[in-house]
Amino acid sequence: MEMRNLVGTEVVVMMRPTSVILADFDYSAPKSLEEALREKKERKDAHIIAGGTDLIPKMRGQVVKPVYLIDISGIKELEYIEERDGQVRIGAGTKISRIIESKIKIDVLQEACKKLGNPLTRNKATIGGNLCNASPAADTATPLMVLGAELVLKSLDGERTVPVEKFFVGPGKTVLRDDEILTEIRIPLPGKGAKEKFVKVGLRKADAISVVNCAVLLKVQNRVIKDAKIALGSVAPTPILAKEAQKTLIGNRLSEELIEKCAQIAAKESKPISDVRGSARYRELLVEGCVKKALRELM
Amino acid sequence: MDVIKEFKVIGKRLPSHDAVEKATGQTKYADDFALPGMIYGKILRAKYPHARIKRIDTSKAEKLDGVYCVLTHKDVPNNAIISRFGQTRAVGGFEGVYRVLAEGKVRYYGEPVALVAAETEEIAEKAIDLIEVEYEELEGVFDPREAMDPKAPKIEDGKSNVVARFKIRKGDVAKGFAEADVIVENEYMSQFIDHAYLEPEAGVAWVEDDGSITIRVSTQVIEHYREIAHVLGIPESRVRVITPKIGGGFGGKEDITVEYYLALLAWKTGRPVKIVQTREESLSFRSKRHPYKFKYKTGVKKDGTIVAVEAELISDAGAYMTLSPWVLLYSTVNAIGPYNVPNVKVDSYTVLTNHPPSGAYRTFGAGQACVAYEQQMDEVAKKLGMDPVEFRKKNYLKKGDTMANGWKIPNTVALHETTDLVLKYLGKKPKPSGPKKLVGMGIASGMCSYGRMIFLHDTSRSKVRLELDGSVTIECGVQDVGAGQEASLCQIVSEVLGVPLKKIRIISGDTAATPIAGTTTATRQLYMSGNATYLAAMKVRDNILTKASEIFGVDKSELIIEDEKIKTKDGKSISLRDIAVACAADGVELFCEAQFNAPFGEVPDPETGQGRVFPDFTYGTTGAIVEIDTETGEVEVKKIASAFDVGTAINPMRVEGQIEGGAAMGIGWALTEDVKFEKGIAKAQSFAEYIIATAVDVPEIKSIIVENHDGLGPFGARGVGEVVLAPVPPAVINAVADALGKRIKELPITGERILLALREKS
Ligand SMILES: Cc1cc2nc3c(=O)[nH]c(=O)nc-3n(C[C@H](O)[C@H](O)[C@H](O)COP(=O)(O)OP(=O)(O)OC[C@H]3O[C@@H](n4cnc5c(N)ncnc54)[C@H](O)[C@@H]3O)c2cc1C
Repeated sequence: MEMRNLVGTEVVVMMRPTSVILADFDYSAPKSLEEALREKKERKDAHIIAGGTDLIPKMRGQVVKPVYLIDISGIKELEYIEERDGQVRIGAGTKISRIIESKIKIDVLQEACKKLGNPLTRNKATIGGNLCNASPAADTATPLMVLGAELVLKSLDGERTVPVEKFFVGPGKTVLRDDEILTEIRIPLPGKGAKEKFVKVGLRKADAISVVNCAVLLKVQNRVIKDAKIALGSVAPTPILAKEAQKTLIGNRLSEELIEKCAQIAAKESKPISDVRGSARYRELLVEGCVKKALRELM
Repeated sequence: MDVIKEFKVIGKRLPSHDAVEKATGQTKYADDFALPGMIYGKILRAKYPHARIKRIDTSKAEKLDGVYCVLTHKDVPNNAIISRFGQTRAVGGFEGVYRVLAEGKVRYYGEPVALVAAETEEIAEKAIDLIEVEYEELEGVFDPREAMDPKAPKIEDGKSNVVARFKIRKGDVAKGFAEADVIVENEYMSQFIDHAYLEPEAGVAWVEDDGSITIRVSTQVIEHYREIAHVLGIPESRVRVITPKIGGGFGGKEDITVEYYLALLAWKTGRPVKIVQTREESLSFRSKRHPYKFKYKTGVKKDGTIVAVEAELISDAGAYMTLSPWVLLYSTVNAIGPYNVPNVKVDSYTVLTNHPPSGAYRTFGAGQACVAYEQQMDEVAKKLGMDPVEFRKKNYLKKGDTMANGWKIPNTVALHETTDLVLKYLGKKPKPSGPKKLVGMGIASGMCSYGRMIFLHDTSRSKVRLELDGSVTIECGVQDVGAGQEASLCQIVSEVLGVPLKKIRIISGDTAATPIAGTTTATRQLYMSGNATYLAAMKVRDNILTKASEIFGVDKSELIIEDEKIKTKDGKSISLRDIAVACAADGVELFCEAQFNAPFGEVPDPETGQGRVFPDFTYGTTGAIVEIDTETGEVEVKKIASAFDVGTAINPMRVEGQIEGGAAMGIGWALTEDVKFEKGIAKAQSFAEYIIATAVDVPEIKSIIVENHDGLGPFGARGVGEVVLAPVPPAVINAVADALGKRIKELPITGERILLALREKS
């Protein structure tokens, strides 16, 4: 029996959610990144599992039927938040709850993390899992996009860095190669004069997937906007930057009229679909509302 | 009956005997139980909402290693059964045929078609996928109004989809509307919602040494053992149902859930069998709250006096009739609400469709009616230009008035009091917390019966035994759904016999071990089993007082019982332990099994709906303050206050627990909960899409207890379990309408509906 389960704008076909996971898979729990990378190279069909908060429900729903699981949740070297070379670096295995508690301030990301799921989920879920799961509704994606973050993808043969907005290809799809693991998120320090805001609308106040989310970062000098980033979640096959809306802001001062105009352009840039959480029309209106809210907060 | 005037235990905030056990995770719910050699059962479900079954081939599944048996309708001794709900009197015309496993055709998506029992859950799941079923899809019908059309596809071949219809005729509505200065007509809708209990349907069954069957299952109705016996074709005496503590029921465990499947699989394999339904199965395929379509026409005088109400109610029964006619009767009797209306005409229908069978859900149809009539009250007030509170107060029922069904109310209706208390707490409507926000305030009053419909001739039995050391054992077949059904009985006995709660043990919910106490439904356990337990305890009390009066040589009326002693006025006393020993020595009975009978009556006249239907009602009021974000449509419920006249609060903490739970549930009903069937298939299949209110969505709740001590329960108590929900959704809905300045008549009032409505306006 097929059951349609819709996650964000991502359409997942649940075969038949079972009480137990039916897939017969092998499992390993490497203790080091090196070991994990070696296994990933040998077993290209392997799935990485970190907190499992996305993968396990998909396995129960028979959406993913893994044959081999590499559990990276025991790899301590993937769990850290540190400041180095003008960047904040976060290990891909870092739990959402740890990011919230971090003394190193990355406001817009931390705000988003506070609104992800519920306390239990946040204690298991990793930032790497949130990104690699590639849901258009992933709450950490839009903050990282406005921050201009880069992702470090490693394989036994080397590493490459990819800007976060180039990482997502479609619902559930990323540029990760079969032998690669996401190891680190690098966030350039926003610098002086930067202001950020994250706004999320779910179907209730907590434990709700974003119907729309929006992150905004403005760099302002003498009240004039020098740079602007607006990222939108759950309104297209991947999280997107609202580039036209961004342009309307640059070189201007924030005013009610400018906010209104910018929000309307952002709404036009979004390409939402209708799903179990809301219609395309509702999402368009929400983009407008969320962008206005975020910008007004930054006025 | 009440010889006890000053309460020492009743009305006190005493923690329940099982509170610590539950809070520390010791309670063994249905799924926390296993037996050696236990195997697992799974259910194969229909792939179409309406289809003929051409062929079922179970051979591949049967051959799978570890599979014990695969059953289809052919293997069920009596597959077509009539659900009766343990009532002591069978009433014709209310019961429909239900099939244990689909036979000939499937009537809803997810209907059980076959059962598997296997060594492990994995094998059982794999076996399910190996069963081949060939279907021929039939046209389905998913809207009750469309299903009423004689040309619509028939759910039960050859029969009308309209499975029950009720009428109420009081006075002359034509005359009433002619006298009216203002007439207001509206349509309202209520949606499919799920019980969303923490514990999905689950249980274990096994065959005893003597060949009889025992089923330990999460159920509100252990008395279904009779139907299980009938399905198996064995005597009722050979089936035993035990319910452990229940992880929530709300009516969803009133119908049979997994009992038949458990019994059949254990019966066929001889092995203990466990079934635990997944959340998805529970959400998509189990019974739901009946959605309703309402039409209301209200005629009022300029001064606000209601002169006539005409209403049409249509409910979606789903694919099997089950409890739908009864739920509809509740809605019909409640259709006018707690208002004094001289001229009434109500027509109601419940209609089969290709949805899962709708069923019992807290308020049993009274809540849906309240959602409609309380919105209508606000709409009428608005048209009159009258304050909605004043308009209600002008028309509230009071003692001595007659309801729409002609029943003359013999006791207090404290709605003026509950309304004033709620308003006092809510205070003035606050200012919006910022720009782009709207604030609204709404109130609603409601009523709900407690005790079953009197034509069912409901009874309950309970047994109280004083032990030789002065402790007490209660045996009563109540099912404790988590509302403290057991604890209230303990508190009653503690009061009557002067025994502290820690020395009282209650054994409940076992058809072979405890006196049959009827269903934990219809807000009836405190009323029915509370009275039965009170009677039993009073008999034991009388026996020991008689003995003590002999010992002390004083009249019984001179004696008091407290602190585990019987005391005389001049300071002499004897301990309960000593009096028990003395009674035992002389053969005086230290136990009593008592039966309490509710008032008995007949089915109301089918043409006029005139006649008493319920023993009594509980009335109350809810007020809500909400704030709406006009840019996102999000609603924040800021405050809820609810006041109910509960007669006597046996334990105020438990009453508050009910009021708070009702408020949380009502917020979900009004704003977010929706199973969203599309062509018979649920779109909300897990708690990620079926949105119930979380701790942060529920605001501060003020629970206000009013006590007029004239209910029919022990010590003048009235039932509270269901009524506490009824006025909450309309209060929230009315608050949203107040904020928006317009009404969204379809539920739930989601952020999306609000935002779209706001855009329409501007
Ligand atoms: C109740 C609940 C509520 C939720 N609420 C939200 C919410 O509000 N917002 C939100 O955005 N999400 C939410 N989620 C989804 C989920 O919790 C997050 O996406 C979480 O961050 C996923 O992290 P994880 O470590 O659990 O990932 P996993 O489930 O372990 O993995 C997810 C995917 O990423 C891959 N993967 C993980 N780590 C790596 C890596 N380092 N390199 C390569 N591939 C990798 C896995 O193979 C898998 O495909 C919720 C989930 C639940 C169960």
